[in-house]
This record gives sequence, structure tokens and C-alpha cells, in this order.
Amino acid sequence: MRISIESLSHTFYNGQATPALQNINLTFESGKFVALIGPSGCGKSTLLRLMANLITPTQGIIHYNGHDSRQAVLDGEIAWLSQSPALLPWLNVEKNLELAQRFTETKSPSRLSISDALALVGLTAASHQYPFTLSGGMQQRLALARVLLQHAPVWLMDEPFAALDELTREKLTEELLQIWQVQMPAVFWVTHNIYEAIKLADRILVFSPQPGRIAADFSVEMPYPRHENQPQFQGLLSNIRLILQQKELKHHG
Amino acid sequence: MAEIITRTKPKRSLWIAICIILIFFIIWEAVVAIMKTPVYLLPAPSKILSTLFNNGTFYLRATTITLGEALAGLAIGFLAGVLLASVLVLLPGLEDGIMTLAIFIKSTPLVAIAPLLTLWLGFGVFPKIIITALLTFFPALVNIISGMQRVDPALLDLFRSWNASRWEIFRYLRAPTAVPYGFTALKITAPLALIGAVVAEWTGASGGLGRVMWLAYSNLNLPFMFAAIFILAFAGMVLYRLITWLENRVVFWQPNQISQD
Repeated sequence: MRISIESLSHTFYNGQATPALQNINLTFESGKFVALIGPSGCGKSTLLRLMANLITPTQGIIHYNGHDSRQAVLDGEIAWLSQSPALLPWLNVEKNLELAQRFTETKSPSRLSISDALALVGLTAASHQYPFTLSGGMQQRLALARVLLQHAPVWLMDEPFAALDELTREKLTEELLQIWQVQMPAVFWVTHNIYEAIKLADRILVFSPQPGRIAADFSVEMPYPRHENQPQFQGLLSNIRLILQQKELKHHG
Repeated sequence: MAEIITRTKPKRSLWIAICIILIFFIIWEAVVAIMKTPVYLLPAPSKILSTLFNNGTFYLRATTITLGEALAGLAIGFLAGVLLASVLVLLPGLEDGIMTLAIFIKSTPLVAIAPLLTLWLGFGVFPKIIITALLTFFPALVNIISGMQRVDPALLDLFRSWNASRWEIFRYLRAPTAVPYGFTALKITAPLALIGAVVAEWTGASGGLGRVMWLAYSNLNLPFMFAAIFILAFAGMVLYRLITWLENRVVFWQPNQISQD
């Protein structure tokens, strides 16, 4: 799956024009883990929503293997995971997954069964529980199981674990990394957390705010698992931090 | 691990409500006894209850008629609200026009229409059911349409990312989301339905609690009138409780239906 973004700009109109993204040009190869990092309001979530065809760009185009994002959604090539686990509260764990399967199976024949997906995220014992009986971490695991079922070549993830406590978040990120290394989809991961970005991604896009632009594009060539005490990790951390601080200073005049 | 979930137990609050009602009646009884209020102005609760029990069959027949009209009107008004809300959500282009019409119906004084309906359709139950349905339709429509429109944006994004059609989003997301709103609508409209049936009966009826109240008022037979009022209040309370009971079982996922320890 080759993804290319050409001359992409987006402006929100709500009484007045608010430019969110300006002239984004990027290409991605399949199986890459891309982290999108930057301050609030820098357009990284907007880019993800444009890629998922949830909004239509004011200018530019996104290609998935030569066809546009609308066609990619129709073909079931995009799996979406947001900060909210977005579970149907009136359906139990298994039924939530059954519904996801009903919508996505015909588009991308799933290679995983519901029980396999539940086992992968450690929710087998909770299959008959309702979402309101699950902790935040378990709810997000269920949302991840839904993504796994879809078996899409592109995963768009908008700060999926941001609302969780640090320990749960770390555990889930490690689990996600293991699953990604098996399925190898192209992952686009929006985050505010530089450590998380370096631990996970093999490409980091740093955004500058208003309008959102790509301020830096880093390739991370470090083997997994990555640790904060590695010199390369620290070097990258300082670089990204410096860029974000400079852009922040420039933005505030 | 899953958090512990326990159901709330409303029994204590029910007992508190019963105690308050009992205290109210005791004070009422005492005031009537001390002030020697004439029975044609304010009868004592004991007098009202004895009237009620001495004419049990009479009141049972009247209650059956009024409750039948109220429940039939409620069912028709509520179902019309659900159907129209569904149409407006599926075809949003129609919303402005239909809502204007619905507000027009809501703003029409039904007290003025009720005698006309009686004139046109007779003293039977049919005009009462129409009035009750007209009274309950608008709150049902507004509540259910709100429920269908206020879906979780994250869930809406998810369904769109699945390329779900408008009908699929309605069936799997909007309709179930609106169920709690439907129960809120029922809790608002059930007492309204009773009022609608009684007011419609005042304008001319061959039976029912409204007819009993009107005749009792004309003869200044206040114990008879208050007995009918007691039945209506009791029926309204029972209806509300029944809806709440059903709501607790159907809408089990709502935060007010569960408490987290």
C-alpha cells in the first residue's frame, strides 16, 4: 500500500476561515509506523480525518495505491481508532465485534475470528461483558480488537491511549507494537508524547501550528524495543523538543 | 479488571415518598377537623376514601374508560412521534417544514378543539383519544428527534469509517441512542395523556373520570370529585413508576441506571 498526499490544504469555515493545514506533500510505504506529533491545533488530527475521508479537503488529494480516500474507505482499506473507544454501550463485547465484522468483512475478508481478536487483546474472559463494566484500558483494548478484525492495510489512530493512565498506556502501546509487527499495516499515530513517538514510530512527522505544516520529518532507525537511555533516543528527543520549542516561540511571536 | 457495578435500589426513596404523602393527608385531615371546613368546600381525606370505596364499581368503570383513552392516545401520539422523528432524521431536508407543522399543532389550544371534536365525532372515546394523541405527540417527537441527533461523534466517525449508509447509521446507532430519550418522552407524556383524556371528557362524554368530575362539580359533591382526582393522581404515579421500572430494564447501560463503586 503506497500512500501519497499531494498539495493538501484544509480550511475550516465557521463564520470565519481558519486554515488548519497548508500544502502538505508526503509519501508513505506500507508497513511503516508513522507518528504525527505537534502542539494542539497544529492540524495533525485534521490530517488523519482527511486521510479517513471523514472530512473533504479544501485542496489537494490523498491517494491509496492510486485511488482516492473515498475509494479506500469503500474498499475497507482504512481502520479508524480515536481517543474515545467508541463502543456501542447496549452491545456486549462480542456483539460489538460482531457488528464491526458485519460492516468490514465484505470489504476486507478478515483473517481473524472474533475469539482470535479477543485473545490477542486479552479480553477472552470478558466476551459477554458490557462496555460499562470494563475499565478504560479494557474498553480501548476492545476498540483495538475491532481494528484487528478489520485487517485493513492502513490504521489511522488519533491519540488512542491518551485518556488512559500511564501504566495502562505503556502496556497497551507495547502490545500494539507486537501486533503491528505481526500484521504490518501502515500506522498513522497522532500523539502529543515525544517519548511515545520515538518508542513506536519508524518515521516521525513534527507539525508546526496555525496553519499546520510539516516542520520536520525524522526517520527512526533504531531496533525495537527502544529505551530512553539509548544515546540515539536522547538525541532524537532533544531534536524534536528543540523544533517544537522554536515553532512555539515563533508562533507566539 | 472490571469495575464493580451495582444496581441502584429505589426502595428507600419510595418509602420517603409514601411517608410524605401520609404526613400531607394527616395534616389535611387535622386542618379540616380543627377548622370544621364544610364538606362542599374541602372534604377530609377519610371522607374521600370512604366515598371511593363505597362506590368502587362505579369508579372502576370510569377509570377503565379514562385509562383506556389515555393509553390509546399515548400509544398513538408516541408512535406518531417516533415515526416522524425517524423520517426527519432519515430525510433531514424535510425537518424545517414538518417541524413548523408540528409546532403549529402544539400551539393550537386543544381545550378549544376538544368541544369541536366532540361535536363532530360524538360523546364516545374516539375524540378523547385524538385529543390525547395530539397532546402527547409533540413532546415525544422533540425528545426522540433530540436523541437520534445527539449521537456520540466518535461513534459517528466510526460508522463513517465503515462506510455505513444513512439507514445503517440510523438502525445501528441513532435508533438505539434515542431509546433513553424515548423513555424520557414517555415519562413526560404519560401524565399528559391522563390530563388530555380528562379535559376531553369535560367537553362532553358518556363516561370516564372527567365526566364524573364534571358532574360532581356541577352538584358541589366534592368528595366524589376528589375521589376521581385521587384516582387520577394514583394512576399517574403508577404509570410513571411502571415506565421507570421498564426503563431500568431496557436502558441498562445509562449512567443513572448503574452506579460504579
